[in-house]
Amino acid sequence: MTVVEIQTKIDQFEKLMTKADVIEKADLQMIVDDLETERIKLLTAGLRELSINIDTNDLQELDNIADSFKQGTLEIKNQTELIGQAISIGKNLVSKFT
Amino acid sequence: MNKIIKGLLLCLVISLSSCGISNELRGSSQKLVELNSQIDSSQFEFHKTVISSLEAFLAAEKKKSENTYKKTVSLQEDAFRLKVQRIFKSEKESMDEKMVKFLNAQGDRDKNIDKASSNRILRTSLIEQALSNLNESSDLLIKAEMKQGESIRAINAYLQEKRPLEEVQDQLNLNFEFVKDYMGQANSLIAKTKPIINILNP
Repeated sequence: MTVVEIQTKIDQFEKLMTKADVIEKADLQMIVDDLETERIKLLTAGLRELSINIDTNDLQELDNIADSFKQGTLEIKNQTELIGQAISIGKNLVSKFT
Repeated sequence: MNKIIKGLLLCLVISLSSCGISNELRGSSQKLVELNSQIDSSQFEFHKTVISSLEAFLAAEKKKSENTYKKTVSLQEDAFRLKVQRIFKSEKESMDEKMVKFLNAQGDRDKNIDKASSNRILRTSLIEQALSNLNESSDLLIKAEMKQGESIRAINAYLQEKRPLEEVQDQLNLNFEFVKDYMGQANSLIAKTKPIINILNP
C-alpha cells in the first residue's frame, strides 16, 4: 500500500467516526492509529534507508590529496627560489669577470 | 651546421614547453576554482533549504503522531466510561456479572492504550531515525564538499606556482622570439658566408 492509499483509508475512517457513537469511535480510532503507524513507516523509509557512498576514509583521502598538492607546491616554490638564487649568484660572478 | 642549429632550437622549444605550464591551463584551473566555489555555495544553500524543509516536515509528523496518540487514549477512556455506565445501568445482570463485564472493559481499554503507546513509540523512533540519518548524511556531504573544494584549491595553487624552468627563463630573460630572431640571424650569416667558404675550399 502507498502513503496516499493509507491516507485515503484514514480519511474514510475519520469520516465514519463523525457518524459513530463513542465506543465505535474508539474502535475506529484504533484502526486509524495502526494506519498512522504504517503511514509513518512508509513516509520515513526513504530517509531511514538513505545511504551515501562517502565515509570518513574518503574524507581522509581528500585531506591527503590536498596535503600532497600543498607539499608539492612548497617543493616547487623552494626549487624555484634555489634556482633564482643560483642564477643571481651566477649573474654576479659573470658581471665581475666581464 | 644549419641542421644542428635547427635541432638545438627544437630541443629548446620542446624542453621549455613541456616543463612549464601554459597560461591557458593556469587560466582554466583558476576558472575551475571560481566555478567550484560558486557551485559549492549554491549547493550549500539548496542543501540547507531542503534539509530544513524535511526537518520541519518530520517535526510536523511527530506532532501529528502525538495528537493521534492523545486522541486514541482519550477515545478509549470515553468509551470505557460509557461501557461502565451501560454495565451498571443494566438491571438484568447480577453484580458478579457486571463486575466481570467491567473488568473485561477495563482490560480492553488497557490493551488498546498499550497498543497505542507502542505505536506512538514506534512512530517517534521511525521519525527520529529518519532525522538522524538525514543529518548524518547531510553533515558528511557538506564536509566532503568542503574538503573537495580545498583539494581543488590546492591543485590550482600547485598549477599556478612558477616552475623552476620558468624561473630560469625569467631570470635569464629568455624569450622565444628573441631566440628565434637570433637563430634566424645566425642562419642568414651562415648562408652569406657559404659562398666564401666554397671558394676557399674548392
